Amino acid sequence: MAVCVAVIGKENSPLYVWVGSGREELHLHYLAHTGLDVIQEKVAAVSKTPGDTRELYLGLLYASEEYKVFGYTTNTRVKFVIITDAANTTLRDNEIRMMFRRLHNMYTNVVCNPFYIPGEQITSREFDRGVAALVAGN
Amino acid sequence: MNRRPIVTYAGDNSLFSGLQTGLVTGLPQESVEWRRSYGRPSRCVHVEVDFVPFSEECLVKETPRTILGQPIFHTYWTDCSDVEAYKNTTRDSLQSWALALKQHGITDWMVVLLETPDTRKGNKLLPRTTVLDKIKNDFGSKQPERCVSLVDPLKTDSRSLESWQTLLTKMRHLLMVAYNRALNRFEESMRAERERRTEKSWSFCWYFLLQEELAHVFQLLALYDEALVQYDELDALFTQFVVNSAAGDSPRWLSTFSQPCERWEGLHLTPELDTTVQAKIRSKEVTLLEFRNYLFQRQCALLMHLNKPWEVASRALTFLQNTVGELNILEVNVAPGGVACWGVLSCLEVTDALHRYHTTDAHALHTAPLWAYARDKLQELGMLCGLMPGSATSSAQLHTVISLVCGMGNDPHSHEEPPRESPMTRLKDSLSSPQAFKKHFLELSEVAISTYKHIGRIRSARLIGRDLASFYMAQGEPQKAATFLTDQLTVFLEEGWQLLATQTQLQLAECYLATSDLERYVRTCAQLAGSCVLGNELRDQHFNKMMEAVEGVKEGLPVLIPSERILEVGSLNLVSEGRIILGAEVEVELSVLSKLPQDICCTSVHVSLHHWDDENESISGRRTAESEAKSQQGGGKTQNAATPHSSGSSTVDTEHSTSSTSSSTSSSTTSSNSTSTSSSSSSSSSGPSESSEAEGSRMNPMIQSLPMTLHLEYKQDKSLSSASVTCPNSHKVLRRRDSQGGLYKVDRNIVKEEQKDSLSAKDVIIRPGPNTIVLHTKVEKKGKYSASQVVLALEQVEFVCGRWSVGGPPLTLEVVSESPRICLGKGSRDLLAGVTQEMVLTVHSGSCSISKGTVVKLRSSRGLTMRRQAKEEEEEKEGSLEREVEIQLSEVAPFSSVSSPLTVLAELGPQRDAATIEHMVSISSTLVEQRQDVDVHFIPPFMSSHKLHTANTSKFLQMTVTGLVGHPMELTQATLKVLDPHQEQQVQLKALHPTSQALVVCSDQAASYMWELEVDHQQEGTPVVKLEFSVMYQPQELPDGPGPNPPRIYTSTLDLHDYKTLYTIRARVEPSKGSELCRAGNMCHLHIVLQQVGPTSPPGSRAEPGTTPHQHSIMYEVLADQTMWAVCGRTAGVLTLEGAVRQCVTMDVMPLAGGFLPLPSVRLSKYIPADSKHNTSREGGRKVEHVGSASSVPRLQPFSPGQVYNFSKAQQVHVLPASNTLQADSLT
Repeated sequence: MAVCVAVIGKENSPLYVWVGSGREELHLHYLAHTGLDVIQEKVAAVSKTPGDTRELYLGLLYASEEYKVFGYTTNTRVKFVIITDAANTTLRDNEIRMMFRRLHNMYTNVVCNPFYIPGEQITSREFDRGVAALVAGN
Repeated sequence: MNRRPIVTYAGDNSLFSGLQTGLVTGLPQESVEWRRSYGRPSRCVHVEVDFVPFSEECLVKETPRTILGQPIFHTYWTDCSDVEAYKNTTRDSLQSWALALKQHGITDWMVVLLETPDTRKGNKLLPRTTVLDKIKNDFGSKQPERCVSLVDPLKTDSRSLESWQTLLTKMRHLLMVAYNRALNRFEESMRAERERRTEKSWSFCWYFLLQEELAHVFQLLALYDEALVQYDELDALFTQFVVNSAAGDSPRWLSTFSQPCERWEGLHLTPELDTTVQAKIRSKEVTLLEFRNYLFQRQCALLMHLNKPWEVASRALTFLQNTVGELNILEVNVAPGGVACWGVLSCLEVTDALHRYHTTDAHALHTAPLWAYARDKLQELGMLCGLMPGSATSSAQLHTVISLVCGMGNDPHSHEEPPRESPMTRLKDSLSSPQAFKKHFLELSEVAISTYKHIGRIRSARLIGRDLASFYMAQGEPQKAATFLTDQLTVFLEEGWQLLATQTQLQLAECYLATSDLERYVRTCAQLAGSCVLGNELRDQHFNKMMEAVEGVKEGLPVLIPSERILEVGSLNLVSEGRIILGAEVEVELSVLSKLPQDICCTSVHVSLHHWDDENESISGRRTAESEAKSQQGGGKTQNAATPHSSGSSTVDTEHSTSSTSSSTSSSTTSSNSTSTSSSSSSSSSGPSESSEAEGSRMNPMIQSLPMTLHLEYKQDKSLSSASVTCPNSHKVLRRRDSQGGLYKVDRNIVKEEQKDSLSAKDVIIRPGPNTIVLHTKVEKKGKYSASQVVLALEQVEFVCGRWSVGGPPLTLEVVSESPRICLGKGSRDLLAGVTQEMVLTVHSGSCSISKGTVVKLRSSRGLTMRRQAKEEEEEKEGSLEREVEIQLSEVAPFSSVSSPLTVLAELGPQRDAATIEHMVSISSTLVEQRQDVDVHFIPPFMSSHKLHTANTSKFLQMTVTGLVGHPMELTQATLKVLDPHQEQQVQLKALHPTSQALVVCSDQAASYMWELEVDHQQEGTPVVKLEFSVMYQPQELPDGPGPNPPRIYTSTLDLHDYKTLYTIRARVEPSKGSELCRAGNMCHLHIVLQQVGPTSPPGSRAEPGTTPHQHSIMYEVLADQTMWAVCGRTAGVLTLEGAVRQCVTMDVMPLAGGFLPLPSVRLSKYIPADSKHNTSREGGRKVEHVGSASSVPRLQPFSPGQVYNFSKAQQVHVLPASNTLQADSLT
C-alpha cells in the first residue's frame, strides 16, 4: 500500500525509514524530508488554535504527480510520514489514519524497550516486521 | 449571452411598453427574500427578467429539460377604467389568456390594472364596483393578490410612487415564487437524470449541461456559492467516473474523453463562459484537457466572484495533478511535452490571475508549490527539447518545439489591452532558444525558492536549490552550485539524514573538483570515504581521490577537516600510572574509530592540552573554552550550542539557592516541629561532575541525567524524619522543548587551537575500525591540564576533532611538584629521659626521587645523644651514642617515604620536679634548603626528693623517689654518700632499708629510702654536708615498652643544713596546788623546760677559741588558742642559756574549756639584741645579714626545722569542765 514509511524524531532526524523495494530510495527520502516543512507548518497552526489538539493525524501533507505524502505527529513531536502512490486511489483517508495509528502503537512498543534510547535509530526486528505487515496492508 | 428568466406580457401591449423600461430597471433595485423549499436556507436575491410578448407557442407542455429561455411568469396589463367597458371587451380577452395558462397548468400569473385617480372617485358610493373588484371577482377567486392596481405611474406624487413600489414588491415576490416552482421542477428532473447515470445511454456531457444550467441560474441570482456547489458536484462526479474506470468500470460515454489530445491550450481564467467548449461538450467532441480547463475556469470564475482568490490557488495544484492523473488513467494520447506545456501555461495563468489581486501573502502558501510545479514542468520541457545546458538541440527536438507551440493554440490574451507578457508568450519565448530558456527557468526557480522561503518551507526551497545546483553544474558554474549544495548539506547533516547528506556531498565533491577548491574537495572526499551509507566501491574511490588530493596539498597553511563521521575520536585514557610529576613523561591512550575504508598513515597525532594554572584561571579558562565552542559552532546554531552548557552551570547555581530556600520554606511551612535540611554538600560535590556530564551528553538531550539532590528532613529532636531524592528544578529540566533545530551540530568553520602543550605521536597507521594510539608528552608546568582538540595530521591535511566532539569523559591531568620533607618523629609512646629510646627520621621524597647515598645530618643539643639504629645485618656495628649523626639514605621513589630509626638517649640529671626536659635537634641535608630545628621533649621517668626527720637528737634522712610516668622503673642499689671525704667522720650514714631490695616506681607509686644520720654532736657548728644519692634504674620490661635497656645510674646531690638538734622543749600543764586535775576556769601552771643540746663539755671548755658560741639569747613565745587558753602574764620572754643547759619557765594559764585540750605551743627564736656588734655572722651555715642601721632594733630569727625538738608537741591535757559556782565567781 505505502511505498515509504518514515519515523522522524523530535529533532527532525530520521529514526527509521522503510522504502519499498524497487523504489527510488533517494527520491522518497527527499519527499519525506520535505514533508517536515508542512508538518511543522501544521503543528504550529494547531498549537496556535486552542481547543482540541489531540488530533495527531495531520492528513495529506502534499502531493506530487507520483506520490502522496501523509503526516502524523505524536505528542512528543515524533513524526510519522507515509508516502503512497498518487495513482493508488483505493486508499481512503481513514485507512491512512489507521495505518498511522498502528505505526504509533508500534513505535510506543519500541520506546517501551528499556534498552532503546529515545532519539536513536530504531533497530528492532519486531518493528521491522510490524512495518512490513503495515505496508502490506494486513 | 443574455439568459435572464423570461416574463410574458399580454393585454394592452402599448400600455406595457410604456412601463417596460421602468419595470426592467425597477425590479432588480431591491432584493427579495427567496423562500426555498426542502428546508434550504432562504436567500435574498435580486431578480432581473426579460419581458417577451405572450404567445401560445412559448408555453411548453412537457416537463422542461431546460429552465433558461422558458417563460416562468405571465402578466396581463390593462387600463380599463370603466366597468362597462371591462364587461364588454377586456373581460373576454383576459378570460382567453387565463384559459391558455390554465391549459398548461401554469399558476404563475399576474394581472395589473392601471387606474387614474379620477376613475376611482366616481365609484365611491358603490363598493365592489370598480374594475379591479370585478377582475378580482372573476379571476382572482383564490389568489386576489395576483390582481394588482397601479395608480397613474406617470405622475410623481407620493401616492402613485407608493402604488408603483407596491407593484414592484408584489411582482418580485410572485416572480420568486414562480422561479422557485420552476427550479424545483427542474432540479427534480435533473436528479432523475442523474439517477440514470448507470444506464448505457446516459451521457455525462448531456448531464453536465443540465446541471450547469442550474449553476447558471444561481449565478444569475448572484448566488455564486450555490453555483460553485453545482460545478463542484460535477467535478466530483466526473472524477469518480474516471476513478471507477480505472477499476474497470468504464461507461461508454467516457470514451469521448479518451480521445487523443492534439491541443494543449492552457487554462484561461476569464469570467465569461467559453461557448466554444460548451458547444463541444454539447456535441460530445470535447477532449479531457478542454473539459477540465472549462470546468476549472468556471469554478475559478465563481471563486473570483466570491472574492476567494486564494482558493483558486489552493485548488490549482490539485486540479493540475488530478488532471494529469486522469490523463494517465484514461490513457489519453498526448504528444510528449504537451501535458507539460499545458501545465506551465495553466500555472502561469493562475499565478498571473492571482497577481492581479495584490494579496500575495494570503495565497503565497499555495502559489509556492504552483511555482515549483511550473518550474518542474518547464524543466521537463527543457529536457525534452534539448534546451538544458550542456545539450545541443537536435533537429528532432526542434521539430518537437514546433509541434508543441502549435498545440498551444491561440493566445487568449493576445487581444488584451494593455499588452503584457502572457503565459503563452513566455512559454514560447522559453522554448525558442537555450538562452531564453535559461533566463525563464532561473526566473521561475528564483520565484519558487523565494516563495517557499517566504512561507517558511525551507526544506522545500532547498530541494529546489539542489535541483538548481545540478542545473548550474551542467551550466558550468560549479561555484553557484556549491552554494546551494552546502546550504542543503547543512540541513541534512543537522537533522541526520545520512543518505541525503551523502548524496549532496557526492555532488559537492564534483563541484569542488571543478572549482579546484582543494581544501573542500579533500574534506568532502574524506567525508564520503567515511560515509556509512555509501557502497564500498564508491568509498574506496573517494578515498583514493582524497589521497591523491592530499598529495597535492604541499604548501601553505594546513587544510583542516572536521573529523566527525570520518575519524571518530572515542576517548582519551591516561595510561601513566600514579601521580604525574612535573617534567615527567605522560602517556595517554587515544581511541579512534576510523570509518575510512583503508589504512591511513598519519604523520602526526596531537591532542592539545589546555593548562589551568589555578582555580581562578580555571574559570576563565572555561569561559574561553566556551567562547571557542561558540565560535566553532558557527552559523545560526551558536545559540543552541551555548545554551546547554550555560544552563548546565546555571542549574548548579540555582540548585544551591533553591535547596537552601526549600529547606527554609519547608521548615516554616510544614510545621515548627520539623526542621528540614538538605545536604548542600552533596549538591555541591555533584556540581562540577554534573556540568562536565552535561557537556559530554550534549549530543542527545534524552540521555542527559537530571540534577538530583539528596533531601533529608529532620524532626525537631534531630532524628531523621524522611530521606528523599529530589530534582530541585524539575519544571525547568522537564520543560517540553520545541522540536525546531537539528540534533546534530555541524562544525563548518573549525579553528585550530593554538596550545603550547600537546600530547603527540608520530607516524601512526590508522586502520579501518577501532584504533588505539599512544600519545606522549612531557609536562613542563605544574597544575591542571585538560585535553581539548585532537588533531590527526596527514601531511598537510589535518583532521580536527573539537573538544566537544571527543567522546568519553574529558581527560584532565594534574601535574604536581612537591619538595621533599624531612621530619623527626617519636616512637609509639612519649619519650622518656634517661632511657634509650627509638625515634624515627622520616624523609618524604615529594615529587622527586632521592638518589642513594643522600646524607641527612642531625645535630642535637647538649645532653641528647643519638645513634643510627643498626639494621639487622650489621648489628655488630652498634656505635656509640653521639650528638652528631649522619644518615645515608637509600634510593627513594617519588611520593614515597623512607624512615630510619634512631636510638636516642637524653641524660637524666638530678630531677626535683616533673618538668620535661627540652632538647633540640637540627636537621640539615642537601634535600632541603634550610636547616631545620626540631624541638624534642623528654619526660623524666621519676624525680627524687629528700627530707630530714628528727627524733630528739637523732636525725634520719628520707629519700623519696616519685615515679612520673606510667612505665614502671625498677630501682636498685640506692646509695647515699658524703661527698667530702673530710666530713665522713662528722656525718655517718646508716641505711635503714635493705640494700639489696629492688623497688619499682611508676606514676602512682613512690619509693622511699631511709638513712640514719649519726651526727657528731661534739663538733661545734653544723657545716653543710654535701651528700650524693645514687640509684640504679632500669625500665621494667613490658611487652609494649621500650626495648631492653641496661640499668643506668641516677645521681642526685643534696646539701644538708642544720642537721643538729640545738634545743629541746618540754612543756606541761599542771593544776594549781590543791587540785589534782585541771579544771576549766581554774588557773593552772604551764611549765616549760628548755634544754640546750650540745656538746656535753664542761662549761669551761666552751670558751675555747675556734668554736662559735651557742646563741645566747633565745626568745620563747607561748602561742595559745585563745578560745582554749588564757595566758596570764607575759607570753614571751628572752632567755639566756648562758652556762646553764637547762632553763625552766613557769607561767599561769587558764583553760577556758573542758576536755582534752592541746597544750599551748612554745616557739623558740633566736633573739638578736639591738646592740649587737657584729654586722654579719655565719650562723648555722646561713648567712645572716645585720644591717647596721637596723641593728638598733632587736630582731628575731627563727630556727630551722630540726634545730628545736619539741617533746610535748601535739600533747593534750585533760581539763575538767568548770563547776558552776566557780564559774559564777569568776564572772563576778
